[in-house]
This record gives sequence, structure tokens and C-alpha cells, in this order.
Amino acid sequence: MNGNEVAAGVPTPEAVLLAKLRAGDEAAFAALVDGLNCRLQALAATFTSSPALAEDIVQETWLGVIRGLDGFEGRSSLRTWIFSILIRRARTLAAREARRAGVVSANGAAPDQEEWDLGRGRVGLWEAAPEPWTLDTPEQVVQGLEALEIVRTALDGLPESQRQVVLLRDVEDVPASDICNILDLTETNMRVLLHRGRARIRRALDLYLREGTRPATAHTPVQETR
Amino acid sequence: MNCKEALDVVSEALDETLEESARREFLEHMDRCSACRTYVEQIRVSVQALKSLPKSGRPNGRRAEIIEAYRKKFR
Repeated sequence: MNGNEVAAGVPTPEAVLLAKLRAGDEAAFAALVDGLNCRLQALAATFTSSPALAEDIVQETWLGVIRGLDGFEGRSSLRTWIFSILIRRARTLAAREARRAGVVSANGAAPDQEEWDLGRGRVGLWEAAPEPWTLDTPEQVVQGLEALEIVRTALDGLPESQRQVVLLRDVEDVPASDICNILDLTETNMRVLLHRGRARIRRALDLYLREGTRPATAHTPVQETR
Repeated sequence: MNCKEALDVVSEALDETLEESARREFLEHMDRCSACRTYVEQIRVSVQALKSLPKSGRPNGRRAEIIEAYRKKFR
């Protein structure tokens, strides 16, 4: 039995969808594309600053999905499987593009702020002790469109590997173990990248909520070592 | 648990994947340390905000090509 079947023999909604996709149900496929396309675009954009290349990556991903549908074993959710195809395609295409353009990777470049790491305590997280945000309820942040815009901009500005982990874990709610598999990260590395990314988002919100400062608009993804 | 140890496991604590004894020590530290408590609460709100980001966006310009490729597979 795989993850798309249940013991009682009643297929899960995902198993039903998969059966439709394998049977050539165009409406089901179109709905899948419409539901996921811009999210794939966001993930593809973490690998390249070129919108055209990001579109190529997404298109190649869907072609990979079409080819691989019959072989999909359901060991992860359909969505996680599609994300994993995208990441493989993105790595290949982005590397090819970088070679063609003669881009020298900026790996090892000094980060724009000190990075947190395990055992470093507050270094890289805060300089002065965090002060509470003056909110009646924390949920006010989530409800405020402007604050969400701050979060989006901060997310877009994260170094690429942090952005990939935060996008998959927090925005897309992909299980942590699946993220380790599809990004080829150890559990520890994934946790460190996640905390670094979350800490930068918190910092942006902190600046905005306490000082009204907005982060600079999204810049070219920062290349960095993993 | 001290500040360093607590800050090492913030993500696990928020994901509720800490083992029981570590979870207890983490919560005890949060009770004692207002800086860590404030920080973790703000990380929690930040994660909630990330989860609330709208997932819609501009449509992909190649949608028709993608659907056509699917159609071809079943011809």
C-alpha cells in the first residue's frame, strides 16, 4: 500500500486526482497547473534572477510531471513530488545558464549580515534584546496587508538556499523530512537554514513594526555556500 | 537549558518535534528569559505571516503549451 490508498480501500482525494491525471483528464491537469503554477514560479525564481529562465524551469517541470505520472509511486505527496522535479530541473538549467553566461559564482562572498549558527546563541539573531511588538494580538501582523508585503519582500531578498527552505517549509508547508530529501540537505543543515531565514523575516518585521522601516525591494538572489 | 541551547532548537520547538524532556527544558527557559521569550514569539508570528502569504500570482505565459503537451501524451 502506498500513501495514496487507505486501508478500507477508499481512495484518498489525491489518489482520485492521480487516477484522473493518468487517464488523460485534461480538466484535472489544467486545475493542477492553475493551482501550482505561480508557486512553482516562485520556487524557480530562487534559482535564477532571470524571469525567462524561471519560466523555462516551470515548463520543464510540467513536462517532467507529464512524463513521470505513470511512474510516480506516491512515496511523497503529489505536490512534493512536483517540487522535487522542479528542483532537479532548476539545478540543471541554472547551472547550464551560469556556464553559458560565464557567471562566476559568488560562493564565499561576505554575507550582508552575520549569520546565525548552532551554538552561537543570539549572534546573528539580535543585537539589542528583542522588544515586544506593540500589537493587541500577534495575528494583527498576519491580517495587515502592508506587513505581509514586508514579509514577501524580505522572503524575496533571502539568500537562495534559505529562501528555498523557508518557501517549502513555511509558505508551502512541505514536511521537513521531504525538504531534506528534495534539497539534498541533512536535517541539521535544513534546520539551520530555516532558522536563519526565519530570523531575517523577523528582523524585517521588527524594523517595520517598531521603526516603520521598509526593507529594500527584492534584489538579485544572493549566491552562497550551503 | 541556557539561551544558546534554547536558540538552537527554536525551529524544532515551533514545529513541536522536540522530545518531551527537551520541550520541558525549552519551556522552562522561556519562562525565565524574557529576551528569548520575546524572540521566539516574534519568530512564531513571522512563521504565521509566511504561512498567510497569498499563493496566487500572475498566470504562467506558457500554460497553453503545457496543457498541449499533456493532451499529446494521450493522443
